[in-house]
Formats: sequence, C-alpha cells, structure tokens
Amino acid sequence: VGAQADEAAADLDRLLAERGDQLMRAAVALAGSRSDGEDLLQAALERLLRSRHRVDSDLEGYLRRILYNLAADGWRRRATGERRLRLIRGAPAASTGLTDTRAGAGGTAGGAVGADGTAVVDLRDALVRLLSQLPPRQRTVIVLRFWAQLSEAETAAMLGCSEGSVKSAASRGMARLRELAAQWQEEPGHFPSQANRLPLTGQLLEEPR
Amino acid sequence: MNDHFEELIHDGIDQLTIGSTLPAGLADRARWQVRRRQYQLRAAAAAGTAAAAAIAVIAATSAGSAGTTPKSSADPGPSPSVALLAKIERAIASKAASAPVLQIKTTFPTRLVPMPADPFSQVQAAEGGVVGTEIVWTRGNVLKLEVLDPKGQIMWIDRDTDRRMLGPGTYTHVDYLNRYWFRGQTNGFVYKKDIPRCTVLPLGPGEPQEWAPRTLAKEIRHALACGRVKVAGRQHVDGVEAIKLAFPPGLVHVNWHGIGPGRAVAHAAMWIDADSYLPLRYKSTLTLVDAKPGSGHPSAALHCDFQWLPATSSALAKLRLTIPSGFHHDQPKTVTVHVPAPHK
Repeated sequence: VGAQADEAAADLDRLLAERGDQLMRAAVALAGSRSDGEDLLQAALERLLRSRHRVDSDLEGYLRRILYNLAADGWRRRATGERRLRLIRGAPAASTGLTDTRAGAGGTAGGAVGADGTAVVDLRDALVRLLSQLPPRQRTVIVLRFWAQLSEAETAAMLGCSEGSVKSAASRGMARLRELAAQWQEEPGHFPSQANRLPLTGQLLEEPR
Repeated sequence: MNDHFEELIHDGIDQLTIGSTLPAGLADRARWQVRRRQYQLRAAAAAGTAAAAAIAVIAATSAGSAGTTPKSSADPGPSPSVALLAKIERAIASKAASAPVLQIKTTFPTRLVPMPADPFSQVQAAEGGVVGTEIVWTRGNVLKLEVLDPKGQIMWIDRDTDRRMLGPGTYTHVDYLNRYWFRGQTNGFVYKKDIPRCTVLPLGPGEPQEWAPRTLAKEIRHALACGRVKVAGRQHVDGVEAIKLAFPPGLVHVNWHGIGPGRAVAHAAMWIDADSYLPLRYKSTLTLVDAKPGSGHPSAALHCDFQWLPATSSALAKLRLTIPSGFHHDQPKTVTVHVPAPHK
C-alpha cells in the first residue's frame, strides 16, 4: 500500500511538472483571475487525491474533468459572486488580476483607438470581465468551446451532460454576453473606444489595426 | 469559431491566462488539506460527534476500516505534524486568551548582521555594529524590540503600537548609539504575496523572533501548510521534554560581518513543549553559499527562546518605552522595507 501511494504521488508530481502550467491556465480561464484559478486548481487536486483509488489511467483527463465540473457547478459560488460584484463596482483590479478599463485606467478608455492596438487589448479584457457575470455552467461551456476548442460532444463528455445541454448553455451564454456588452456600450466610456464598438451581430464595425 | 465576437472571447481569455504558471507548492498544499480533513473527520468520529456518520460512509467504501481506527489500509493516515498542529494551535489560542506578554529572546551569532528586514540593522552594519541579542516583548498590538550588542549594551529600541504583520504601522525608534529618537511610520514589507511559505526564515517578514501571540499560530500553520515539515523526534530543551519540528531549508539574504552581504541556506527547527504544546525554541543554522572567493562557507546559528509571562505589572512594564534624557528628537520618518523574495 505504501509503495502504491508513493507511486501515485510520483505520478501526480510528474503530471504537474509536465502539464501544470497548462492546467493552471485552464483554471484561471474558468475562474476569471489568477488567485481564484489557483484556489480552483487546488480544490480540484484535493478532490483528485480523495478519489485517487478510482483513477486507473489518464490522470490528466480525470483532473480536468474535476476542474471543469467544479467550475460548472459554481465552485465557491458565493465568494465568486462577491468578487464579481467588486469588479462591477470598479474595485481595484489588482486583487483580481484583471485590468479595469473603466475607472480612468489608461489613455484608451473612452478615447481613440491606439495605433498599437491597445484598444483591442482593452476590448478583450472587458469581454472577459463580462464573461465572469455569466452563470458558472454557461461560462464553463464558453471557455471549453471557444477557448479550449472542444467540440460539443467533447464538452458534453467532460461535463457529463448531453450535447443538447452544451449547445443550449453556449447559445444562452453568448446571447447574454452580447446583451451585457450592448448594455455597457450604452454607457459612454465603458468600452475602450466608441469608434471600435463591439460586433454584436458578428462583424466588427471597423477592423482594429 | 464562426465570428469575431467568439474570436475576441478566445483572445481575451488567452490574454488573461497567458503567463500563468503552476504555483510552487500547490500540490503539497492540496495534500496537506486532504490530510487535515481526514484528521478532523477521524477526530470528530473518535469524539462521537455527528461527523461519525460521514466517517462511517467513508469507511464503508474503503477497505473495511473502522471510523475510529487511526490508520486505514487504503491511505497512509494523518501526518503526525497535522495532528500536532491542531494541538499547537489549541495551546497557543488558549494561552493567548489570558493576554500574557510573550517574550522572545533571540541570540544572534556575532558574525552575522540581519540585513534585509530591518533598515536600522543595515545602518548598524554600515557603522560596523554587530547585533548580539534581540529581545521582543509583545502583547496585543504592542511590540517592543530591544537590540543589544554582544556586550549587552543597548543599541536601539523600537516600539510599535499598532502591530500588524506585514502591514503598515507606526513606531518609535530610540537610537542609543547616536542618542536620538523619532516617531515614524512604516509602509510595511514589500513582499510578494503568492510566495509559498514552505519554511520559516529567520530574517525577513514573519521572522520568528517577532511573532506575536495572536499571529503565532498562523505563522506556524503557514510553515506547516506545505506538508514538508518533519517531526524529528523528542529532545530536551533546558530540561523540558520537547518535540522537534524540522523545517525544509530556505535561502535568506544576510550580511556577514567582515565578509559582506550574501545568501545563506537556513536550516530551521522548532521545539514544542511536549506537555503544553507551546513553542519553546526556534533555531536556524545559516551557511553562506555565495561568499567572496577565499571566504569559505561560514556557518552560524541563531536561536529564539519563547517565554509566556503572566500579565503582571513587571511584565507589562517591559512593553513601556522611556526616552532617556538628553536624546535628540529627530524628524518623523517613513520607512518602506524592501524584502527580497525568499527562494524556495
């Protein structure tokens, strides 16, 4: 038993040494900030350690399934909600790892498009902030579908649900995201550039340089 | 991906996650949490509380182990340091509740000047001063620090009245060598937050010689949280039977008298009273690793002795500060202490 435990610990250490950074990126994407991502990955590791005897092979796949399901099930929902609230109210961004594009940060907020494309960077950042306002399952599906590039079938297998549920969550999530983005655009200065408005119908009004 | 909106989301998440790396010690922290939870469940089961039901479920699904059995055949069981930690935390909390004065006396090796954490010791180093002993008295938010040279003469005294670990605060500094005093503010330690605290370092933020009753348990918990602390048997400290905890080594910046600044490996250990579970002594052996050529690798040890004084009038008097007559009152100062990040 002792030898098995040592071998299992070595397997996990090897996985984290080889794939730890990628797992951390996934956790940050799902949680919305670096510090929350770290907590989420630690929670996933704890669950893996508790159920280790059930893992026969594909340790990374098993860990990823735990990670995605924790995120989809609203892991620490209340705490995350509080963080979201702080984000929306424009609390200091340092604690979240996100840049606040609204509170007079930088020269691009509400201003001209920077020749270096900084407005696009801010735009992406603003969208990620909006993403954190979605329900956990919708957010997780969007991260898996549009960032991790999983198919609907793969996403469904990871989350243990039907393809229809994935399709529905993705569709509702994207619709809600567009709605939130539209609301923000109604308030001047919330997006980096009024000239570079979000392509709510799927097309950029002006291609960023 | 079929439109620019999705592309923006993809790139936005990429932007958020780029450069994210696995924090050192994360797996160790997870293992420690799992062991701690197992220990808590077993402790609750042994006490016959409601948690026994949860234990029974776990036991039924594992290899037939009973809820009160300390070790099951399916896992290695709780780490001794986790069980010990709970006892240490309870002992400190219980002791702190009586609001005693915690006295921590640190004896420095004469060849070593603590460098990064204390700007005044850097001044002393520049003036050729060498610290011999440091005595801290602390109670609540008040901390008084008296620094003596190897001959027992006072070099300087600091008294903080709103002590907050790693945070900003105000203090009074009395310099006995240059006969002046001032009130000042410190902006706190500039210290990278996410550095894993897998060891106890003798010089720097959270250094054991400046622990306070209300932060002592937290500091020890931080040190144990990485799960790499070893229980290294029992020894006697000044006639008292003690449990020795050995911490993993860490690197610190020091200023070696006569050699200059450099990095040293700190091998630290703490002795816990085997009866009361209160800390008795902390010792760190420092070995210089990058001295100037020809200096060799000098080694020296510092140790801290912990003593809990009942809050009598004589003990409380230790917290008070009297400015000696004839000392010059200098301008208030603000100090920001830049602490190099400890190496793992």
